[in-house]
Amino acid sequence: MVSTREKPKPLTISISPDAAEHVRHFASQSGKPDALLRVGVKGGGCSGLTYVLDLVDELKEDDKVVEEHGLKLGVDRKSYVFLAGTTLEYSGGLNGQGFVFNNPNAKTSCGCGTSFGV
Amino acid sequence: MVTQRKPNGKSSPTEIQYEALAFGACVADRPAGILRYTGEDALDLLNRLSTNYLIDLEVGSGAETALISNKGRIIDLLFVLKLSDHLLIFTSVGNETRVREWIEFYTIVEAANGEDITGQTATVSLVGPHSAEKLSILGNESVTGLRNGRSLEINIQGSKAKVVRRDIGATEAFDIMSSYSEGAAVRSVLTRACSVYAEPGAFELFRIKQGVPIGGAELTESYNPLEAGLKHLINYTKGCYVGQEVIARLTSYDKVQKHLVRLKWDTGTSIRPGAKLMEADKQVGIVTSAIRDPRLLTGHGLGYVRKQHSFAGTILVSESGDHIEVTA
Repeated sequence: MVSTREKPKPLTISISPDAAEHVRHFASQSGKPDALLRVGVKGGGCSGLTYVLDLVDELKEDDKVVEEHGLKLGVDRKSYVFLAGTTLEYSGGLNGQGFVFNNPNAKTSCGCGTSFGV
Repeated sequence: MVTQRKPNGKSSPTEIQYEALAFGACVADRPAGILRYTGEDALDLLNRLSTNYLIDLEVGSGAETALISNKGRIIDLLFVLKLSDHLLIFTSVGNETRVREWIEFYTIVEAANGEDITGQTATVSLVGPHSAEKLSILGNESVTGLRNGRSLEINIQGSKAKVVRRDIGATEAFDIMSSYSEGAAVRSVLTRACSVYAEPGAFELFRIKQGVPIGGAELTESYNPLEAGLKHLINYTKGCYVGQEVIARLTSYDKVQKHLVRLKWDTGTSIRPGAKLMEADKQVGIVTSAIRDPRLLTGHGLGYVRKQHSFAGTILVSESGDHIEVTA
């Protein structure tokens, strides 16, 4: 029997054009225009897991690397399972400006949106 | 000093042991799981996973903290001791594997490695208001000034040991930890010095009368730390930790529905953990620990009772109609 279902696309991490632009802006402001973006997840925050976002000179050897909109993004290998499918966006909403992780793995999140649970 | 209170003038072993725990000094086993954590992020990680503020702990000092879920429910009550190159984490007995797995789940980018050393360490406790004096007589005068939560390296008649002061309620208590090979010698010296060993029944009576909750009975995922009387272990200014949002909401909106209380009843009444506490045919609470006091011929327990029934002097009834008094 042949399944008519579309084969699921491999989960990756993407970055919106606006977020990529803001990363370049912040890198330039901090005097490191060539800095790379590294993202990960650490334990803590109201819901259990918190996003980590860093500008670094170089990525770690085992980081998963994504390139999009001219930006090189490194994802901590152990954090990848919590981030697969995520889109990094930039929000200028009433709740404050900043980067937002649109994460399909997050089953719960805290009121301020900085932590999530799976 | 041991006093006798029963009319016939004879004290049972439990009475003698309870008196030593409450008014003297007594050797006891205070079972606990022990985890050893290394890694530069271990303390920070625990600070992010539990309710108390741990970051400023000095080497040799420790603090209690509640490990809770993101729904604010109790996973365990921990005592975290900071030593020069590692942490010791005391868990509820039998809960060490779960606590370790819980911490490991949240260890992602952090440098933190845990090891279960429960079976590798010999621990015996000295409990009672004269415990420090006993250790002092054995050549460890510095223990006299040791504050609650602090630890010291000591020598007990040739055996190296670490003493950690971990009071039980308002009563002075010390855990004396030594290598497995020296454990028997340390225990023997302490037992000779105190002449009384508290068996589990006497220790349980003492714990309940002190109102001290334990894992598996009062401290379970059915309850949150505010209900369990652990508010003093919650830091409201340190920032986010797992479960913080729920705890902050419960506190701000005064939404705590029940409280852990001490209970008392006539010994003739058979009350067991799990017994329902009723008022006017409606359940308003549950007994979580229960024991008989052979000295005063009364029963004592701990339990959770709805807020409006949690005041001292409230009389509730068991399902069989026996009176149970909320004492504190």
